[in-house]
Amino acid sequence: MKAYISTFLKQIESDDDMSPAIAAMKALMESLRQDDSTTLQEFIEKMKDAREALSDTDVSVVSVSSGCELFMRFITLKHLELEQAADFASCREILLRRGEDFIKSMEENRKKILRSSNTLIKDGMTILTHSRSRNVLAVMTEAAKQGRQFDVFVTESQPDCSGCRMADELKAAGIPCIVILDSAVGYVMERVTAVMLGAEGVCENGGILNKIGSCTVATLAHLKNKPVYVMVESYKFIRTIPLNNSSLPKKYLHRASVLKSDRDLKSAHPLVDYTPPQNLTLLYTDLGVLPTSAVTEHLIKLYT
Amino acid sequence: MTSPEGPKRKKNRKRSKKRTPLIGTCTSSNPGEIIGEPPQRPTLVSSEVEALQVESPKSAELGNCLRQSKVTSPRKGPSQKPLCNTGSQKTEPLLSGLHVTQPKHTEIASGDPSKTALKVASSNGPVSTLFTLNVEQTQQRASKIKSSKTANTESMKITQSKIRTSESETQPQVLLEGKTKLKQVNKKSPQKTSSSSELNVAQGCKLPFIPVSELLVADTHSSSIPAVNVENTHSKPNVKEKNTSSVTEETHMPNLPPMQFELNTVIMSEAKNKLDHLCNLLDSIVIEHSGKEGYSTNTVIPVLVDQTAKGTSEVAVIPSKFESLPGTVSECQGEKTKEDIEHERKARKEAKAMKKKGGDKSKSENDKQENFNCIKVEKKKAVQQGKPLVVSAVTEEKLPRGKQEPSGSSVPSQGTSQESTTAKSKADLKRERREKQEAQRQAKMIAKAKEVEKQTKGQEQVHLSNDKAKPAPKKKKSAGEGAKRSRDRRIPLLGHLPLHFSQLPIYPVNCDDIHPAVRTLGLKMRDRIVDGSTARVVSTLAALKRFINDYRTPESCDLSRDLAEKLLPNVAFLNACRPHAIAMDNAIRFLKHKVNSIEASMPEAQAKDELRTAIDDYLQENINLASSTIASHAASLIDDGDVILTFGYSAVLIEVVEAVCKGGSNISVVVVDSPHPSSGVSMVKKLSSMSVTTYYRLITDVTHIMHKVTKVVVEAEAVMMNGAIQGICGTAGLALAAATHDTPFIVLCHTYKFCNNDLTDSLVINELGDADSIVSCPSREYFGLLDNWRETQNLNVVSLVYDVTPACLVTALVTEQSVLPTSAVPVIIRRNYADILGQD
Repeated sequence: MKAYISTFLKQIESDDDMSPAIAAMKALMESLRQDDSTTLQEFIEKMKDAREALSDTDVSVVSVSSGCELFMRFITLKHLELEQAADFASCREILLRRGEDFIKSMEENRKKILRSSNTLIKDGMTILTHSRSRNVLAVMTEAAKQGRQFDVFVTESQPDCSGCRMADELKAAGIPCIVILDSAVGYVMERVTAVMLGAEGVCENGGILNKIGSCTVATLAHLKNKPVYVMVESYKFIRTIPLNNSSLPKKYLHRASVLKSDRDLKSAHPLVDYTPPQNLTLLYTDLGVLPTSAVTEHLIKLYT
Repeated sequence: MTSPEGPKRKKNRKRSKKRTPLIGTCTSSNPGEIIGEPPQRPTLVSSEVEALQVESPKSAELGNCLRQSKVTSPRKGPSQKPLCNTGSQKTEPLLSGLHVTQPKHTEIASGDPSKTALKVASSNGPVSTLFTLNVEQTQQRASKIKSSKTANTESMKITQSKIRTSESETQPQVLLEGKTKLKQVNKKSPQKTSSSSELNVAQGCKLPFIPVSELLVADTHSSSIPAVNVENTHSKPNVKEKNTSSVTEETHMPNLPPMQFELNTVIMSEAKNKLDHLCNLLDSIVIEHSGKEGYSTNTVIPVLVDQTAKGTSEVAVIPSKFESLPGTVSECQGEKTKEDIEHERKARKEAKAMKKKGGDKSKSENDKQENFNCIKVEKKKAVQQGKPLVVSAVTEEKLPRGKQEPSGSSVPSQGTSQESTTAKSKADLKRERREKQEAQRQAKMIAKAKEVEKQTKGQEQVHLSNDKAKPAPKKKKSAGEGAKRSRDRRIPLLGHLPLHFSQLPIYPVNCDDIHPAVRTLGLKMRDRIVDGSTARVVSTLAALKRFINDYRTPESCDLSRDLAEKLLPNVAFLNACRPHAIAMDNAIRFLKHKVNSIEASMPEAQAKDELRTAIDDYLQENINLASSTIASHAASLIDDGDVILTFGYSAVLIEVVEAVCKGGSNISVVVVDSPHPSSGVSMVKKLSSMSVTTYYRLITDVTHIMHKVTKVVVEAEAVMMNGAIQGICGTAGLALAAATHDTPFIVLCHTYKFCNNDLTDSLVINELGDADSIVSCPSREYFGLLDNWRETQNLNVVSLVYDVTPACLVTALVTEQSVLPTSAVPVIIRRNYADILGQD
């Protein structure tokens, strides 16, 4: 296993607060530093391999691949400037500097989200959240710090019970919360004032890819006219439009280890589902509070 | 023509020519016919007519004189011929040739006016250069030709008139034609004005309404056909067609907006139908005959005394006059003996000599003619004497007024002439004239009132089909009115949409504003031979490219300005044939933008080259390459085993299916079709030939099959700024059905079809289809039940071409840029077309 992948995995394990996408970017930086290629073209090829290797690990592939793509896009953005560099050494300098800047700005993203969602949580609210999201956790903790009084329902979020972990962290922050069964979402929904979700990826049409069960929650909320807010960083925007859940690529749905095994995928539980934009209300991102329809504009700006 | 005022004279002459056709139709060989019509004529007129009829034999003599003069005419001809009318003139010779040399063709032509028209149109084609040659040939032949009179009584009148026109090179024409020429004169070069009468006749023969298919057929024949006399072959229907075409030409005049144009045609047709008005106007038409000697004098000049007619009102009045022609013609011919003519000619020559200014010759002639008519009634000799003086006065007065009042100013001019010329005209004459003028005024008032009525009713267009053209005037009137009324019906909420008529519209063939390629395309689009927004855009740009190819920048003009201006009538023509698709609007806007951005300093050749390249690139990038990119994008959305449902015919979708099949996926396709028109049939044929499992159903069955469908893929006609999809009618229903079954609804669309407008319903921007097609029920039980739905009060039959699918029903929009949500449309429009969006 290559060095940068092991550091990547280590980072994810050690720093639980770090998004896998940021960790992947850092791993790419690591590989960039160790890179011995002599031309830009060779370098880009190698980075591509590195990205594939990273998304081949048992992490959330969606955000890792989108984060890596954006990272590469950013550091190689001004091709002309790179080509004008005297040699590849100086070129690498430029790339490294850009990479550092980018990662730094990406790490600022959560703070920006906190700022944009500052007034989202109000006293007396009852919030339903699904699974564990670092962004949602940060927003709630921040609100609690500001002395807001609100209740939280957290779904258990099988199969990995990440909701239980979320509940523990919320309780640690002094936020009253109740863990409910995934199948109890419908039962709870009428008491909820708002639903808050994180996302592993945001599709071009504003729909989100998130932990399995999010679609259920969002659809029920939509049915009961409860607002659904999504806390997500802009580097998770991905350039695809899933027509529906069955058209999601398999690499998003299953861990790499599962895909490699001989298991029958039909019986394997998918880890991710797709929530169409109609069921979402607003996206709280580092770019500001966006309607779902605004995602495409940012993507087009980024990639064209 | 050497004198500086030459061009002006020419114009006037042409003006006068317009009226000649009237004369022609009336030619007195069949007095009985004229008499037969009278019931509708006022008594005043009828008496005059009778008097004229008595003298009719003389008209034959006149005709001979004319022929002789015609022989001489060729000298003049060549100078005049050159660049005048591109398509129309050229076609004429061919047409005439057909009749003479090849008996078969003549048969066709005489029997079926539309077919002849077709031939003409086909010959119009592209080549302007050939034109001169043809003209010369025709002239030579024409000299040889003698007027043959057909047994057919109806056609007799017409033939005679035509003979006359052909013989006297410079002059005679239908009123309408004359007007068109006037317009040409006003617009542009003197050359055009000088086109020979023969040509004019031929132009009249060409019918714009010819169905494209027929045109195509005609093309094959036309090349082989030598030029022949126009005279023999012309049948009455042709004449009528002439009129209509000329009318349309008039409407094309630059100062008239397109809407007016349609109105005018409608009005014209109506007016034709109503003889009453015509009879009233009989008095106003004066025909003057000049002898063999002078070219200029040779012309037979009919004059409409139309005091009030100006602008649009003119148009309306004209048709009525035209109908009245027969009476007038007979009068003139009957009255004029050779002697008279010679006398007149001499007098005129004298007058000419006196005025070197050479003002409006035609007008002066008109005045003379008026005088002449009066004289006929009372005393011929006195009139003749008076003429020269009158003429001189008139010409002086009229010159300053110039071109724009072709028919109008006769009354005032007369008055002035009488005043100024002390000696000649007698008190009686004056009185008579005044009476006539009064009558004319009344007639005009009536005509105007009718016109107003028609306008309020809405635009109506005229079918120039054979059956309509042939029947006697009476029949036309009754049937025409009913049809008109019924056609006028506006559907509530949709009154703003132009009405659909399968036979429409009628356009002048000899209007050089419209390039033959554009004309052909317009007809094809009208007949739905070219259908579908992509095909229409491609062919439109191709036609405009040919137009640019043939374009020559006039001296002292910027290419960009002049070309942009000359593009307009072409575009307007296409729009009149069938309302533009949004994609066409975009393409044309692009072209205009390119034209406008050409710098004045750029040489013409380079500029044209740039434009051509721009068009090619546009087609290549936005359509050809884009289609294949769309296909690959869309293919990525389709998985193995999918059941695709599509609607109607879509070339892009075929590419998509091809791409999917190439990728090794096995899919089946359900083609849903609407019965009007059932374009899906060809889709099914293509798909099944690709060995794709295909199902064909009507859209009424769509809910039965939707639950088995995994994806719905349709092609859009346009995508609006708010993400709404304009598609062929039925698309929105399909989208709803898909949404009900939660089936992804995928729309394929080129980004050049994105539109800078918002659209929330399908009423604001749409096109009315052929409502008759949806009430024609094939089942025997209900066959023809609704055929006369237009007469049924409270019954509205609507066939809309497009509908609008709201953005929320669209899952994904596949463009050549990528697969996008509908929310990306404004972004794309802003990014791609920022430069063009500013202008319109």
